[in-house]
Amino acid sequence: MKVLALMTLTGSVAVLTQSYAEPSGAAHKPAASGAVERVGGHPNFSGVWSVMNTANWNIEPHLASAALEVRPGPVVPVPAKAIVALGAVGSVPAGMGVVAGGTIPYTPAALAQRDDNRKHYLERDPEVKCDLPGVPRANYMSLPFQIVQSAKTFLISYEYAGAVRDILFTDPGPAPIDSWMGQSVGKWDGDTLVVTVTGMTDGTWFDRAGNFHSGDMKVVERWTLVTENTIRYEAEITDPATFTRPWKMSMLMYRRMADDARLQQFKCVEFVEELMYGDLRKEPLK
Amino acid sequence: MNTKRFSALLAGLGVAVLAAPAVFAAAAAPAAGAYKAPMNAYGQPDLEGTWTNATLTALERPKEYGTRQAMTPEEVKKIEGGAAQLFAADAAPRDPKVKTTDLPHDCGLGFSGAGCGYNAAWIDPGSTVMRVNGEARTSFITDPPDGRLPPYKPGVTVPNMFMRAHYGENPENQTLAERCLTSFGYSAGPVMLPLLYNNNYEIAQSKDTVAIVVEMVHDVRIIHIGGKHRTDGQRPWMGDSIGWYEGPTLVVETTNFPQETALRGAWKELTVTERFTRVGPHRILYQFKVKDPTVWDTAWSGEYEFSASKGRIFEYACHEGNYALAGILAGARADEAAAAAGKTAAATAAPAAPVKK
Amino acid sequence: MKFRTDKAAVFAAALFLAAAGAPALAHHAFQAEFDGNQPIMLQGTVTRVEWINPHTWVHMNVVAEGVTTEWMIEAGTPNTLLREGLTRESLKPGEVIIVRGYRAKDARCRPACKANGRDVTFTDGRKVFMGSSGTGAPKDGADPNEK
Repeated sequence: MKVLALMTLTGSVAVLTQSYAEPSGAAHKPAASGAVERVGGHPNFSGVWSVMNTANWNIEPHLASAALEVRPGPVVPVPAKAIVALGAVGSVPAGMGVVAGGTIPYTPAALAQRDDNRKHYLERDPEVKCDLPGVPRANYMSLPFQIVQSAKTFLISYEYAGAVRDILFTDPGPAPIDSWMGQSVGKWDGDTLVVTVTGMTDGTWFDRAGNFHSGDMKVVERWTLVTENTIRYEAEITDPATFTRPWKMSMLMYRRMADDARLQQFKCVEFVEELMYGDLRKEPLK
Repeated sequence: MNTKRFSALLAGLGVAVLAAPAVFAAAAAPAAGAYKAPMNAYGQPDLEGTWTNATLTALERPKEYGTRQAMTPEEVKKIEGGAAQLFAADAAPRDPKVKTTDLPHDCGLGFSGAGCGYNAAWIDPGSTVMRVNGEARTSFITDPPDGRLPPYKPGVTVPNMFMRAHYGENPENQTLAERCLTSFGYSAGPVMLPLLYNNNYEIAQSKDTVAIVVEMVHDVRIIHIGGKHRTDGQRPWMGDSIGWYEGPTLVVETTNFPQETALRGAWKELTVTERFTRVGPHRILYQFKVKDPTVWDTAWSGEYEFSASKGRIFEYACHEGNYALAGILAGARADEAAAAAGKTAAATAAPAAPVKK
Repeated sequence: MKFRTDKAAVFAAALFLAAAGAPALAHHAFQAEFDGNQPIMLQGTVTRVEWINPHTWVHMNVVAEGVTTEWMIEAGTPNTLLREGLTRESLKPGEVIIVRGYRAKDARCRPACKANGRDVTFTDGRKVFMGSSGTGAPKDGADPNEK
């Protein structure tokens, strides 16, 4: 699929070659044979990686804005009361988006739900409560993740909330119950790892912009090492309850290479206790 | 069978034991056998797979075994048979006419009444005594030879990790497990120790990293192979682990432990050295040595064997569904409101305001 | 119900477990969350099961004197039972169960009244949640063929 769309966004023109393109451009060509380390006959993805985009803010193309949740102001909308004190830190950075074609094909009802999610962002985004992020969101939060790969194992350990996925190479059948990170079943398609993720709850979102899915979502990920330090990540989302057709996202991930390229811990559960349980303290804070 | 009577008996026994004599012996040598551990694609001993340390044997040895490390076959039969019966009794049908108040007040292991929790099917503390190289063990600890922690140095305090001060007042007063920050024991360790359920681990190895996924609270230990300990004074969860391979053995050394997860009171100068050696297709010998000169005069050490776990690691997404923490805090508020109402009723004062939500 | 149990063996197992690890067997203080002075026995129809950690919650409707009350019953981690083959089909909406347990101290009944399920059975007395001791347990290494 060639998606080199021109899009008009409030008067400005954005070329989406960066945000969504098949790995056909010169910069995305696979490295010469042998340049990418291999293990067990497959490209070795082991290492610490992260995206360099703002997809976690909004996977669709967007300009910078004042806040994730706004309220009517006398002239223009202003940040929700709980965000005001953060000033510029509470504002949203712009992004080219990672959705093929730029727009998620919601059903009309689901689109209304997405818009309503934005109005109630603070109380609804699972990231605010430090919930596990689900797939694909885990992959493009700004925090890095580490892949530990051997001839038979492909483990992804995420810094955010200590999320973790083990890619199963033997399909155990349908997930017995739903989970936050879902059940990941992988198989190699040449040098691309194709992972089918099912069994996720409806409790996760795609980003901080209210983009959501149902509990019946299926995600098919394609992980391709296009250079030894670059991964082309694609995900196809299928969820007829929410979307009129399957749709794709695509982005690059970059290897962290400096001496400090170590996965840190972001156990945010304790950071949200005041938010979630503050009213149940013996003496609630004023 | 008089379930009630033995339950009451158990209740009386559910008491933690304290430190014991300071007698030391050389640590047990790794089990030597004909088995040759497989190597992985990186030329390292292959430890990958899902493993469990669920067992009836515990870190410390019950005192009546003295310095006896091995259990007799008769003792093993008795203990494993007894555990099986505890479970079987709980799984048996219940006459629909039986009322809650007809259930035995004590349900074993020191629990009673509301503390009994749920049907035993939900737990999985293991059904067998730990075998190391085929020998049934009375404890994990092998040194000191009485299988128990050495005496604490004077002035050392060991916090109760299961009940903290000001319990119920604030979320921060609750245990790390109730807060879903980590397991309610030392699942992730190190030392990695089994508990009531979910004693499952996955080991993954790349060239420079060993990751150990701990099913409880989805903790992941990242061990830097050939790395150096951090010197910046930071103390991450589960400490700072580096590792190297010695022949068929993965050696992991962990320092920089945080105070929150002190191991039996030790954290500041704590060093834990673990040795993982594949001793069979379904067995990993796990040996550990613990030292903290500010807490104990000498190091202590022990061993057990991981065995291949049934199936994969399942997600334990604790925080996301943690109604229990809110329930505990709200329960404490309800207790306070009831107490206040009781006190003020005579004075016809207004009852305490209900907790808002 | 009658069980044939070897008292001495159970005693030995209990002694062994209790001596070294009993406190480590406590997940959270049930007494803090549930009121031992408020035993409840409920018969009702399952409306939803949340197979989540750290505790499974069974939602049920209990009809008493023509009034329907919603209850949420706390149970254990699903992971243990997943190893025994539990799926979302194992307990389904519409099934009738009997719950013996203790009511939550938090009696606000929001979003539903809460209790723990010390003992959960079908109406014929069978336990809803059954493990079988040993099946999920590790090989013990006693069999030399495992080596």
